[in-house]
Amino acid sequence: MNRLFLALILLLLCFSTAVFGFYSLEKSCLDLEDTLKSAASLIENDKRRNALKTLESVDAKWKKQRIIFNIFLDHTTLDTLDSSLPSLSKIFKSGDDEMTFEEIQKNIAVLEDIVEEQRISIGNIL
Amino acid sequence: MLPILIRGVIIYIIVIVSVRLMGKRQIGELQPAELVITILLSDIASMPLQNGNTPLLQSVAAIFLLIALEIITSCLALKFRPFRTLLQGHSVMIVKNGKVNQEEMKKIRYSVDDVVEALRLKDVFDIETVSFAYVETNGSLSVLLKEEEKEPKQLPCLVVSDGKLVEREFSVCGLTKEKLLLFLRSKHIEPKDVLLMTYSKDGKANIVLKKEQK
Repeated sequence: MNRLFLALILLLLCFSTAVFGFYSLEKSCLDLEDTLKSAASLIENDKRRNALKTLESVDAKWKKQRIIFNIFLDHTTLDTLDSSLPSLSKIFKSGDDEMTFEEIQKNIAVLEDIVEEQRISIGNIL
Repeated sequence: MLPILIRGVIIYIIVIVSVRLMGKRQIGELQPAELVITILLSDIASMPLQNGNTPLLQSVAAIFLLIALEIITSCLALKFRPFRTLLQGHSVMIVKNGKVNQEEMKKIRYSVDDVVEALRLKDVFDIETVSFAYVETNGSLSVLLKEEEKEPKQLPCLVVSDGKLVEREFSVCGLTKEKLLLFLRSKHIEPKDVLLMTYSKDGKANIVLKKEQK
């Protein structure tokens, strides 16, 4: 009986960890995506100072939220974001707006992928 | 390198705890489902050690999930006989009085060579000397040899298990449901009170009542 009880607790723990992980990742990804989109929009409208501030805030947010990605995500994907996000502000400062824009779009795509991969769907299960 | 070593320690502890939770069985006694879980566990446990990019939590969660499912299904198998049969199957008699039961052998895909080899592993070199031989649910062979007298030994059959009649065994020991119930009634016993009852053709019965367990 004790073992059965323990088994049920383990089962509950597994599923609740998975659900928690999904929602945490989703929240972090959406937050970063919104900030990146906002930065892209500011660059388009030539509001350089605000764009730079926004890109610097991306770096700060990434440092804060990285632990969640570390725990739940494959580290290969993590490395992609890790090498790109902190460098966005530097690329923008160097004056290469086109490259900044490309990197922003690339990171947005990666973040969207992360959320999609975590969803329960036939494609993901199979 | 250091993170991999620490992962190794964590995975080692988790696997030991998981195997302890699963309970005590030797490898050779595992049921098919348990064997599958054991193999899966070792594979999943090695993933984060082989590939540093795999999050440790994924493997740990998968290990705990398998252990939880294994415990739950084994508890269900303990409680519900049909579920146990579905999961583990049942023992099959393949030799009776020195004669091989070919139909049963075909059903379990056992060749004559398999039978002879399994008997040899039990130090039985002459199939004629076998009174009864069962292939158990874990694939092992149980053998009852003939006694030296000409008459073959009567095989005790499990006819009541945990209060339920095992009707599949009745024909082996020349019993019917009515005969069994009459026999029990003569002893003022209800089938539901019986933990275990064996019966053989020569009328010898061994009854263990549920109360005796307490």
